[in-house]
Amino acid sequence: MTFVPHTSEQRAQMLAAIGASSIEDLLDVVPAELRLGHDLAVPPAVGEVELAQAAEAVLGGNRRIPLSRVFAGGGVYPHHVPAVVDELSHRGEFYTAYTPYQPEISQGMLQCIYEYQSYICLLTGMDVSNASSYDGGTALADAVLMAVNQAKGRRQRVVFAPRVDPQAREVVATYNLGMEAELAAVPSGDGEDGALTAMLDENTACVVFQYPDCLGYLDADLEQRIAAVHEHGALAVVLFYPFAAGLVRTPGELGADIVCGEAQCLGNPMGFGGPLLGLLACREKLVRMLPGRLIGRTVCERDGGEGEGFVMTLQAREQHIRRGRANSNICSNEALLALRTCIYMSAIGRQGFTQLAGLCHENAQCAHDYLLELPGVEDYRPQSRFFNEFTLRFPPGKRDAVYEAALERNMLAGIKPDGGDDDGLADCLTFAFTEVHHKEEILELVSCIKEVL
Amino acid sequence: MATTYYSKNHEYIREEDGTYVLGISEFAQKELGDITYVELPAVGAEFAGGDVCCTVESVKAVAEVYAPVALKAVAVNEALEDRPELVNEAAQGDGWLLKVELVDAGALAELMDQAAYDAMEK
Amino acid sequence: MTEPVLIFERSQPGRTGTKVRTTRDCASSPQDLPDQLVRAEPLPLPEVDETTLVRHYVKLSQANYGVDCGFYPLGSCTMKYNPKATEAVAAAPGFAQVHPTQPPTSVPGLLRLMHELQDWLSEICGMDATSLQPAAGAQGEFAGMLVFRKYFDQRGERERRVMIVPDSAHGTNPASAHLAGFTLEEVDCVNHGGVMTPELLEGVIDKHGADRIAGIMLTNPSTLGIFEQHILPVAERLHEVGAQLYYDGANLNALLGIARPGDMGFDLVHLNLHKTFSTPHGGGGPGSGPIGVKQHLADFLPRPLVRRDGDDYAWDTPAHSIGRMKLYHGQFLVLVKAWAYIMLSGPEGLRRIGEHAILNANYVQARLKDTYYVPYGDRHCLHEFVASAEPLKEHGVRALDIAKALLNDGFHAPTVYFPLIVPEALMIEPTETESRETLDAFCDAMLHYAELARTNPDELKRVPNLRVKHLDETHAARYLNARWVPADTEHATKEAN
Repeated sequence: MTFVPHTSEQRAQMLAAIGASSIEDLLDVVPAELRLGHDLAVPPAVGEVELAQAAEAVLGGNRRIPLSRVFAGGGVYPHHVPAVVDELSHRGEFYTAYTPYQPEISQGMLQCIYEYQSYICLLTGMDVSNASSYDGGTALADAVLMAVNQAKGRRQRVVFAPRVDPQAREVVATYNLGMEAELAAVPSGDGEDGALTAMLDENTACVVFQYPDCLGYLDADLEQRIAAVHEHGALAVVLFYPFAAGLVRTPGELGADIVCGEAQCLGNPMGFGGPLLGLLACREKLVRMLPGRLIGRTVCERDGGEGEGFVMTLQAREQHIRRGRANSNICSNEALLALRTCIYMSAIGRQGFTQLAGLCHENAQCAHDYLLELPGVEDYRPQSRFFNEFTLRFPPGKRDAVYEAALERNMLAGIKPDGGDDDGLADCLTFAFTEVHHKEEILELVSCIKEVL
Repeated sequence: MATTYYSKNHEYIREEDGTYVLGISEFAQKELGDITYVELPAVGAEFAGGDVCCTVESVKAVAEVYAPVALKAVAVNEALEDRPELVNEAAQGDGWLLKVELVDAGALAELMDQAAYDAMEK
Repeated sequence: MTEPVLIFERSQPGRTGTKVRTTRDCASSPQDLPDQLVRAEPLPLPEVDETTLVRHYVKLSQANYGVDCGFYPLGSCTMKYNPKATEAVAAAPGFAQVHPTQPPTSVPGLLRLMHELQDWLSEICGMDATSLQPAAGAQGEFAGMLVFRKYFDQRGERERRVMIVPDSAHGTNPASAHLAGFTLEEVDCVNHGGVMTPELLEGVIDKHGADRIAGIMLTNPSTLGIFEQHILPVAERLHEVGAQLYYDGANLNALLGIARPGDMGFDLVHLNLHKTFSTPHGGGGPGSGPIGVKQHLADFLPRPLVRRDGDDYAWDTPAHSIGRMKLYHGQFLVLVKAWAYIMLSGPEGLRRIGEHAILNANYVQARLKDTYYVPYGDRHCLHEFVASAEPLKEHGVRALDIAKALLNDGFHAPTVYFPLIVPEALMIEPTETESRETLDAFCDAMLHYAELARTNPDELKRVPNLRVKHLDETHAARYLNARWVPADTEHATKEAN
């Protein structure tokens, strides 16, 4: 089955108009020695019925864990996606549109992305947001590159505060293969505060904080730490979980210069890890360094009179103008997910967002308290508070058995935090809770774990 | 009496009563279209001949401004921050970019005078 | 209210939107969050009821244009019809509602799907190994450049830093090379028949020295729609001096089932699933940009790949991987759609796609080339061609005017002013999913505009059907307004220009 509409009659008529006798004639520009001599080794064509069967065969052997039994985060969270988000974003005028280079017929998408940019600024406390990056990891790489480029060679060091997501740091390291800035990380543990201060000097371009951190914890002193970064003339980059803004102060309110993060949590499915949605926003003074598309509001002619509309703006930052001198090469981004996030935020609204963030926190709190009652289970960081994600240490050698037992009972008992340079995580699990979780299933998780311990 | 010297990249240095002003030519501003932003160096910045000293952005292009000869920026046109369009309106007047000191005023002899610049194929 | 009306302006205090959940079965005395971090006030998000919300976004969708609405002949974008059957497959909860950390042994089918796609894309391109991770074409390009860089660094060839790019290249090519630390050598192909030639290549080798040449970035056919007929000798010479060839897969639609970049001597290819494999563009993404490599580069691919051991599938890290390009595995739901598309097409279907993409482009070229200037119109094009509105310039009509006239008449315009090397360029790629009737309607309109340019250019420029026009891009750049601000913030007055 293909979507080629030509009948053989039409084909013949078109060839006649071209002055060719067959399609083979048209391929005269391809050297004979390069012509593929065999059929491509892919399965024979199918129709919708067989396709559905093939999809079933793919899905059939998998363990299907319902959303409410997924107690895992790590950037990608099991939030509920309201029905309106799917319904509206699937409209063909949005779904099958190209990048809005012709603004006259793209005002719909342009306004939605403008609204998305507005939401991201509200959630992060920044002045300007781009129209999306690929995900939280690449948004962090973009943020770091911004900070280094801003310093114009005078500052080359990037410092990661403790407990910044190891995957995101690895993405930065990959992007840095071409940039060769110095990447330094403060290891988690006693003395980490002193270690961070010691790394701040006139060569530091930025310090990266994750808020809440990758193990779920909130740093009560984040505002002071950011102030200390500024005293050394460096920029503060914050990797943020935007759902937390329902309860906590935004990174902007705490002094951040650049905020990045993963916004899948706002109206998008987990999708086995993709597509995701990178958010990237900054203070106005940094806007010229900001990678990605930017939608601006401007004046125009509307219905015959004066009016306002939306266009892609500051394109002189981008690859199609700067080419080899661009800060970033991003072209296609995550526009449809940004649209979904815009619709989601509009659907949830002011009261809804606070309520849902509260539910996430409550459900996590409840699970935390029950789990801590189990023998030998401890907080990884007992001194720290959390939003909806936290890390527990299990008795030595029990962590994997706990995880497997839960999996057997069709639950995902958190994620195994990648060791990175933090010690003691080999016995740990990082759990996350959202508004989809029920006490009943939380208790089931607890009792399942209890049996193992 | 002012004398203006031009580079082949469409920068000019205008000498007036012993001071020197750097900008882009009338031709250059027209080529660029509506200018939206000008990036100027810090006061005191020094450049060798051929170094990029400023950047001018329009809606559809980015142009690097090269120091025609070795120079030091002693003042920048701060009006351009709020009104980059001054470069379009008066590229060789109020739309100047930098006031500069020259390392070697003799180097100006290697640039074009008005007649030579006007005659240059663009 | 006069338009545009933002969702924030439809807010009524006290309104509630979607009810996600009513029960609170974990209500407890919540642990206090640190005082220093607690919000005093909820964020000023809008308060809109669901009816108003739906009408707001439906109305906005009606002010937008997608492939589902009409013809979209954007050159090198491959705006073909997006099948709904593949959407239905990807929507299954077994794909959409899976956490990325779910262990591979519990979701073998998902890894199997990815492994199959890796294999099929390798086969389609004539390559030996494929990574599905990059999030878009540009990210695939960048990943490819990093693979080259690590390959050379491993061999101790740190001087190899010159990347050759033709002047017709898409902007992401030099941007990606630059980001990976290469220096660029742009080559003037337009005066040499629009393609890379062995002579041009030799000139670059002489200029820099054979040991400093890293490689070349080419798309084939080029953005002019012309087949790079010297590709075999060019590839041979580059390999002889120790350099590598990168293939930009933006134009792969022309070659499906007909020829393969791997057979032409390319060492690394990037694909755009949202072009060739018809995953929807979504207004600017999500895309997906897998990269395929020849065996000697396989160890450098981004991680993770899917590895197969008999009936088992697992995540794998290549021995000298450049690392992760992004979080987790890639644009998984987009990969599912591409997998389904290849299933629907089969080998004959893939070849039909290539053949009919070429047929359609040649048909439009034949109908337009006597009226518009087509720089390489003396020969068959492949899946796209570049026309020029230069002949209309004497009447005061430019490519931009043609583009707006097309919008006015319900078509999307072709790409304009690219490639940079053709003046008043109109880059036209019809794709294979367009019927003859649609192509005829487009060509009739284009010929009509040319006629109108001669007889009544003012009428041509009057675009009465466009409700919104003459958007001032200068104003947008000079007075940046990129977000709504609540009326009572300090920024409100500053942005109320």
